[in-house]
Amino acid sequence: MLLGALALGGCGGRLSALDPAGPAADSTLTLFLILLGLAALSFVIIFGIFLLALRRNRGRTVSLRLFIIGGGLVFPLVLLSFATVYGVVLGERITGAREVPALTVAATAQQWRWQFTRQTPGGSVTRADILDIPAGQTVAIMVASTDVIHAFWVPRLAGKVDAIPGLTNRILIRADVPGRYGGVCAEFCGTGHTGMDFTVVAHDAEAWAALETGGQP
Amino acid sequence: MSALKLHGELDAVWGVPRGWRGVLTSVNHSDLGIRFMVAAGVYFAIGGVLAMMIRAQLATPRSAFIGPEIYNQVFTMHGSLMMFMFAIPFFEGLAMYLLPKLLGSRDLAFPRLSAFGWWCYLFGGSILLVAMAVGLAPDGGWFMYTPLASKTYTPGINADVWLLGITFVEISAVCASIEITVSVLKLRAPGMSLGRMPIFAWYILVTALMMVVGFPPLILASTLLEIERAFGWPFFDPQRGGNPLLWQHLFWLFGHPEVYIIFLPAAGVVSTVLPVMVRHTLLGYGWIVGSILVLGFFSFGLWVHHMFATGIPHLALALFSAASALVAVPTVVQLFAWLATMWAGRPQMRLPMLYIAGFFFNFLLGGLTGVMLAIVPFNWQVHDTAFVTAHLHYVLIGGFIFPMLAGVYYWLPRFTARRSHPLLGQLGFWLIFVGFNVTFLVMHLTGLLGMPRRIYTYEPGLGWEWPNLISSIGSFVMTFGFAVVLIDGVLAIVFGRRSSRNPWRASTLEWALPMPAPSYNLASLPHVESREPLDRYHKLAQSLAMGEGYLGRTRDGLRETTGVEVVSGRVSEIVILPGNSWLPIATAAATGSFFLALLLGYYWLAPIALLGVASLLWRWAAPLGARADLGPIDIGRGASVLPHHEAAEAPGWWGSVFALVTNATFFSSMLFGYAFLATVGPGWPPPVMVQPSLLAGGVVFGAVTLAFLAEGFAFRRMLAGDMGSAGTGLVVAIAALLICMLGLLAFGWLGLPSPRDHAYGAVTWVMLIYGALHGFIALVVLAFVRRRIAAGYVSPARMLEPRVARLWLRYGLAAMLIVLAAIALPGAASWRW
Amino acid sequence: MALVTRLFGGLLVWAAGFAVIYGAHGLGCGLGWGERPVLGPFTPLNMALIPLWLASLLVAAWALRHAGRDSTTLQEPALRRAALIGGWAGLVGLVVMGAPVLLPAHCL
Repeated sequence: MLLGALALGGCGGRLSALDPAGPAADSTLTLFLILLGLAALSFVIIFGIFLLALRRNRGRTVSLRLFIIGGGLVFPLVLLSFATVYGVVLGERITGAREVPALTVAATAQQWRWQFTRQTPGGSVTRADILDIPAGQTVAIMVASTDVIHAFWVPRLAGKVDAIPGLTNRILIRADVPGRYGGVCAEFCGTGHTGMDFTVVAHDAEAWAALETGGQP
Repeated sequence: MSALKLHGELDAVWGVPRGWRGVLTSVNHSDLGIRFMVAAGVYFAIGGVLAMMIRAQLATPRSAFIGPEIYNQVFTMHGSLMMFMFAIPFFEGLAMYLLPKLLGSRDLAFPRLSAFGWWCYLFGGSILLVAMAVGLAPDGGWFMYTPLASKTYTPGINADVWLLGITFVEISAVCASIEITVSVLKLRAPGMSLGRMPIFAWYILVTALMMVVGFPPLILASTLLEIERAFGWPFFDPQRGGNPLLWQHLFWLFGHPEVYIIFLPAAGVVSTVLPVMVRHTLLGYGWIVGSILVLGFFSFGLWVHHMFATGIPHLALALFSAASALVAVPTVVQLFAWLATMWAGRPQMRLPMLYIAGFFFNFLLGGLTGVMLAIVPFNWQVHDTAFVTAHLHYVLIGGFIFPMLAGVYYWLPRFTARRSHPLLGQLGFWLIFVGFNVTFLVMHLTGLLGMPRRIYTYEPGLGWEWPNLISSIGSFVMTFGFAVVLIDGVLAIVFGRRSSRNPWRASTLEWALPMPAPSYNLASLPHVESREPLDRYHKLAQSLAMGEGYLGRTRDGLRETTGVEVVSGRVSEIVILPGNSWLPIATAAATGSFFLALLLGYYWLAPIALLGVASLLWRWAAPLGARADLGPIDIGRGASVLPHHEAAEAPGWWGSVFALVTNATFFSSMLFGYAFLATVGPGWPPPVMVQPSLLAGGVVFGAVTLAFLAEGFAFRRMLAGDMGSAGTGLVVAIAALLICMLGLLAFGWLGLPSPRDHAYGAVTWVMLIYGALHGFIALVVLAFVRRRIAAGYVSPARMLEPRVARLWLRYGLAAMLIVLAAIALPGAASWRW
Repeated sequence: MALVTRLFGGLLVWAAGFAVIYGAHGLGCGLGWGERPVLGPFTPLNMALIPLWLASLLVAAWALRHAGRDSTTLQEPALRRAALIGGWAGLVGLVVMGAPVLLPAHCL
């Protein structure tokens, strides 16, 4: 059903993780498709054996060793090792510990809105619920909260990170092309949780330069 | 003796009085097990109605059915009821009902404790339901994350209802876990070694052990949060040195093992029912036992995968990601053991097998998405979206409801002595199976399309309309399925034809009982020589009914069953169980008034309620034991053994051991919290630390030593039969314990900062109170032994009570010393530098 | 007690090892050991965690050698098999779950 929907192109939408627009979300989608393939393979094998076994009407001797060591240990261990190593390596890359971002923006969550603050030559600029970034460049978002726990999530650009009072969490995002990307608060934060969304605006180089020198977006 | 006469005699001893008196005083495991299952079924229905409200609300965008305030209560209650009021009590009930029958015993080890657990569950659940009826239900999610659930952001009583109501119900779960552990280890038929136990007992044993160490972190977290809410002690408030993530660590330290606690009993049902359906012995028994032990351990190393997005360093995430992937292996081993069994057997597609097929299909899908979620970058993307909602329902409905329905249909003749009609059952299955998959398969996609969890409505144009509508339609089909199953069950009970004694031709002992099950289970207990006792003895049931096994008689109107050595299963003692009693319901009511007092803010009433609980517990212990040494008693088949109060390791002693393991886990979680706050702050080191008073610390240390030595002296005098000096020794130990408690409190009073200003003061005061409380418990226990000596219940042969008291004393002394060291050493270090 | 160590000694070693590695990681990050590499890409945090991991593997291997050998406590083959599985799981578990300490360690 999932693949069918993908094929039909029914996977767009302002918040769709299936329509990535940045390297983090893009590599995560590839990871998902590989995991989905492995999962489908495992399902067909195990449920296939189940169905075959169900059709038997006379008992036979079985090799318990083959079933348990082959099916129960070797088979999952091989697939799981591959998936885990892949995930850890990709996770390291997305975390980008040694990466130097082009811009750092402070994202402060509070019930139920976002404040995005960045430093420009003309001083610090804060906007509510709109996050301006330059397209094609890596931006570090320093996510914090002043009250309860929220989560910063722009599905088309990257995964999510929690906004926790008393802590500051870092997440790197990059939008490959200029445009508007939807963002939401993903962690339940009270009665206004549903409406706590925001927009990421990725500007092309020209518009960004204008913005930096004090122009209005 | 004729079978009928024996039945009459045993029933007079084990039976329950008619009418309300019987309902309120019964401690019989079959009664209580059925009650747990029925009540859990009622909660399942209530939780299901709440789920329907959620699906009705989300069926279309911009729905105006319910607003966010009500919606938050609805999904919080749906999760909380399904987890705490349905899943756990349901398998507890099944285990309570089945275990003694499977193990060839007459009841569980602590029958009054089962009844106490039942009443706690009933009263605690009522608190939640009443709160929901008056619109004050919890609304912070079933996970109750701080600071949202703290007083500042949830000022109303809603969060207190959750914290106190759920903790009350958890007392019931912890009681059940201790009871089940000891029953499996000790109360089996003679000859049933660990390796001959039915596989279901292994699953339940591992589950119960996991509960013994899994629930304390949540009880601790709830206690701390309630203290923060009620008295302003900051544990989770980042502005005063607390940390909101401490809640998440403690919650998921419980919450992840919880998933396996729910899954393992269901897998146990599969391991029991599947071999019968395919007409072949379960293959790979040793492999399965090993796998579930591994699962039991590994499941405690995964909790951080619920916290991948909280900003924990990626290296730590990688550790937990690897653990979360690896935990799949023991489950796959079980799957292949089942497949091998099917391959060797001749499967029959009867109704329980149909549900097992549904389990294979759904649980496999849930497990596979679970592995996907263990991979960190993917988890970052879909965490807190409908994808996770879909995954967890595949695991819980696929991995719990389907096997449990297989079990309910399999054991329906056992519960009711009647059989159901296969056609209606099959209709129910297909409606549930199809409805379930229609609801939840598409929900994976909804999540990938970006729909977060716990939103009460959504805008059109995001691609979420049609998947949500499909899910809602599917959920109603599934509901019809459950309704059909309910009707099928009712019809079977009212109109079903009577079942034969062993309708599935199974080989475990529960089918050796007459239909319906008598109050005493078996008229005499078998000697078990294999894993499948009914295979070898075709006449076993008749012979047992004739009283030809062990204990096929009554003695002085006592409830007797056999106790065995844990590993070998050699019979080691006669366990004399207490009869019907008002104490469980009275104690549960007193416990309930304690929780109600806290909930309604009548704090002065809480200590009075606790004193009531303590005095009832005193009376609880009083009627056990004996005043004379009896020596070995004949139990039939040429064997004679000691009564349990003269034996070395009676169930009561084991019960205390596991109660202390629970307690020690609670205490370790507290120490973990202290260390966690100290390492990751924020706001640490605290502005003011302890000024350790050497005098108070020295007094505590000296008094602990004195209490230890005095009790040792008293114990040796008891063994020598010198009860006079023993009593004096106990009095000295009691006085020393009193000094310990006062010294510990003085140590805090003189040196610790206020608990309201900083988490340091709060956490150290809580530890101090824990230490003092355990000094008090040890004091009461020693006072009890002293009374028992005076009343003639203790002799060199009857040392059970002093041995149990010794456990509690030593634990209390160790706890006080650890508390003292944990507070004083860092304080002294900072003071010197 | 004999039953506990014989039946799941290896798993207890796993639990202790996992707790020590995770605890040391938290402590190391708290003390700032992951901030800059000192040896190639490796940080002092690696230097602390790798020896702990190797030590835990040694203990787990020792526990495995003893698992399932003793036939006085565990006379039945099924129990010996379960004990052996526990021993192997302890060792393999620590190898797999501890392996990430070989990554260049940082606290982001």
